[in-house]
Amino acid sequence: MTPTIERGPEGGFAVGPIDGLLNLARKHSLWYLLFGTACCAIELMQTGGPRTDTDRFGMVFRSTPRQADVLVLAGTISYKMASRIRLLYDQMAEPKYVIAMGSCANTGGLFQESYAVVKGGDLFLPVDVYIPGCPPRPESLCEGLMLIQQKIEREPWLKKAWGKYKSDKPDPMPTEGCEPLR
Amino acid sequence: MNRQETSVVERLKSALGGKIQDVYEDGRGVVVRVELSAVPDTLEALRSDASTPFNLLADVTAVDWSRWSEETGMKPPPARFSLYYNLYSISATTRLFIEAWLEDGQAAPSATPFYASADWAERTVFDMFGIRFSGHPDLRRIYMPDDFEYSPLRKEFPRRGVDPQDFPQE
Repeated sequence: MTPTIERGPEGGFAVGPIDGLLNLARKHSLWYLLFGTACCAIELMQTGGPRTDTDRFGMVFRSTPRQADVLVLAGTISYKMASRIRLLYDQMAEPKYVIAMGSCANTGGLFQESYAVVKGGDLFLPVDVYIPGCPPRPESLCEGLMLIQQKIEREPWLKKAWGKYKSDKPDPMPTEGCEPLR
Repeated sequence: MNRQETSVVERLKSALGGKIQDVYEDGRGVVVRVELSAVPDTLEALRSDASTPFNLLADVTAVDWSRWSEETGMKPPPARFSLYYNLYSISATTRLFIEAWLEDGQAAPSATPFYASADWAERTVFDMFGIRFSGHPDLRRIYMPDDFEYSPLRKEFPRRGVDPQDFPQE
């Protein structure tokens, strides 16, 4: 599905299925939400810094969920925060991806025995990539974002959206796993 | 007890009389134990004290003593919960604790008429221990979600917390 870049007499052009071309564009503009709940957010900020420069992959942070493609669960999630994170996730436009960053977002981590901590972000969000570590190094988070890129690359996104459009469902965009919060 | 604390306790004793049950000193500082019903009078007397006005309510906390005697083998406490008011006088740099005991289900008088900072502190105690405060303007949970049904710092609450399925999904 990967498009091939050809050289023509009047400059280069790309040949490939439209899905592949779309995915090529999508995977290189993976914007993540600038949002963190605990110390992993420091590593999240560091990942956006010059050392592991995610900007070279087109990954930049956005301050609003409406412009973001990726939600990084960076840090411990308390029950009260979980409903707010769900609200942020619901505001993101499809297609959207979730990364569980660090032990706390994976399983509750160090604070698993607390009465107030959610035992894993996958209890209330569809998580695509889990990153171990406490906290993960910026390289790990960068790798997680690149795994999302690989996932996007293989996704027949247009086919999926068109299939939904052709079926009887009124909404052309896939909405599974994003029921509105009460 | 230093001279300032002694004089404050003396004035408090003359103002409240027999409502003061005990005055003792431990690692925290000077603790004045009063009846639960005398807490508003005590707070008012300390707040409007002439030489050492206690103008800061730093904290309101509680302790659950329900497993005290079975775990330590020591003599049972006077009631299930003890309530502590952490008072500080900024001008006189003096700290004083008010202690009051109450049973489960008994409502404590709110300190919000005297100290605005008691609002969130009492909400915290209500959230963690389930102790109600009569006269509180807005007694809701503060840390836990509103639909959470337990009081996490009570001794009968399981240490690992409740089942995560209790969290409302989708």
